[in-house]
Amino acid sequence: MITVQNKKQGEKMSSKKYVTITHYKEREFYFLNHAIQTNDGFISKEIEQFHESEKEKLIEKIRLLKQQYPLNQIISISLDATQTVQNKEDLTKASAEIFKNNYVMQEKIDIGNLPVTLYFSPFSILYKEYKHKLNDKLTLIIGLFDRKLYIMFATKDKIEQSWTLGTRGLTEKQVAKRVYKSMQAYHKISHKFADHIQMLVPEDAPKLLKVLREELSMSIVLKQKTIHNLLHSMGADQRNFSSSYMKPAVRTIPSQKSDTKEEQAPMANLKDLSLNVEDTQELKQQKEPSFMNKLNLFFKPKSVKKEIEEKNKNTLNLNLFAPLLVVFLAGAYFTAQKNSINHKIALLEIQSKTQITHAYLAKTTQNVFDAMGKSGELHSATISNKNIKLKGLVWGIEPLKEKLNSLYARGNFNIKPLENFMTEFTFTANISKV
Amino acid sequence: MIKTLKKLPLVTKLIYLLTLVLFISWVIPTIFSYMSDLNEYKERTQAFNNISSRYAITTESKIFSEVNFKADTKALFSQVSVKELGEKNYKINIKMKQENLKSFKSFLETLSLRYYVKVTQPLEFNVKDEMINLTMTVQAF
Repeated sequence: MITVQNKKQGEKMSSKKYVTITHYKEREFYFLNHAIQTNDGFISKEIEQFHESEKEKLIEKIRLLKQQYPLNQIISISLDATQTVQNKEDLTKASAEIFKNNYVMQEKIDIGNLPVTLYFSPFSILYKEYKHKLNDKLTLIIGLFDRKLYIMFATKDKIEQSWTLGTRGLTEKQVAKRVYKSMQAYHKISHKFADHIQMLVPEDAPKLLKVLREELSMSIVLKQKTIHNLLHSMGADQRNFSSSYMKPAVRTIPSQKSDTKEEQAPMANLKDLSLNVEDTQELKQQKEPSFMNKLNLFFKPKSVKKEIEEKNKNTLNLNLFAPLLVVFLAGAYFTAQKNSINHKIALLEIQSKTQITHAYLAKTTQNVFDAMGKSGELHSATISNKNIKLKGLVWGIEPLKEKLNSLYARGNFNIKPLENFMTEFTFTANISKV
Repeated sequence: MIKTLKKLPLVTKLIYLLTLVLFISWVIPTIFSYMSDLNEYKERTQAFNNISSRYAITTESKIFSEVNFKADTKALFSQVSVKELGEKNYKINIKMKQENLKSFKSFLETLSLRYYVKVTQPLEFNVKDEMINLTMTVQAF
């Protein structure tokens, strides 16, 4: 009974075609393709090209294909230059398992709002293409995708090292030299050289191949397949992609998952591959320099290396102390301004008070001289705002005495007859005002 | 925001906390105090300008110097000499006709508006043949 039911279901399923829809972006163009998967392989349809300004049109086309073929996988490739293969999985990064202890990782998955159910790293594709050729000897595998070389040293057990090299703006000779220097750098670390070189290119690159062969002095086995065909192959069978497609970053610790959950995870994740950019951005953490960074430093002179390292340190410290520095500067600026204003205020206050004192002193002086009138003649005077001392000749004693006493009531007026029949007067008084 | 802060290392958190404390306890009060002082300064400047305009002084106050002082008082008095006593003190000797005493009164009233100085010792007058010999000591501030 069960066998009959399964047979019926199988017939029903076979009436629906399983397709793989593939798309990727190279420079300013999106490339879309779909292929009907059969038991004998896939039958690829025509490749369509969309300019990046026609993104909506591309999305609409994918939607139509999905409607047309309900059994589908939408597959794309990550052309991120920062992805590397590591021995340990970092759950805060987007990752895909290649070997048991080899994970390809990148900071985040960014597919720009395009529908994707399976997302592959070039490293996963390279491994899938060459895994049957790997043995105990070290093989250098190179893939050229979107003007970037994805390179890895691999044996049948693991991927020893991986890195990416940008080729944009470089001549074939420069690219080849960089590959050679990278190999040298790896040799310095591991004392190993590759015995074979395998190269996978989506497009024909005869000049690069020729120069690489010359520079590395080794034969390179070339395989040419389009990205669409590579992706169709990856999506052909669930066994192919169950672990090798890239999953977005998660926060959970692997030990908390049961074995059964792990088995169920790939299919569940296919639906949950929401590729939330914000979440992955939050999970960014500071990391140790990767092999790629070390390689970049390897190409630079020692002085530049030191400079870059110092610069990185300084930038980090500056970023950390920037708010504190801003607060200090603001505080110091306003403190200095406040002190300056206070000094000016103090100066104005002294000037104003002094002006009043001087005006009073000027008035006292004027009063003293005016008081002499025709009653006397002043010879010497010491005048301040506290007291006055006057000395001179007097002709009209009473008028002068009255005048001075009217000005300074507590004054002491004295007269002294002189030998020449003149009279000398002295007057002293304390002034209580000011 | 809070999640991001929680994830920061302890040293970073402490630095940010110190920054916040400094900003609240030092920068903000200093800014407010500065604004208050600035207003007071404006008011005092206005009051000082009013006094200056009452005496028809349009120039800004100058730092006292022998050269400047002599040049400014040359037209007012018959003879002026200045002697520096040290510690910003100057002994000024002025000779003038007794009839010019009113000029001296105006000069003394406006002295601290023109220069940053004040008279520190009593004025000493000696009068002979209608000529006044005045000695005054001023201190620059």
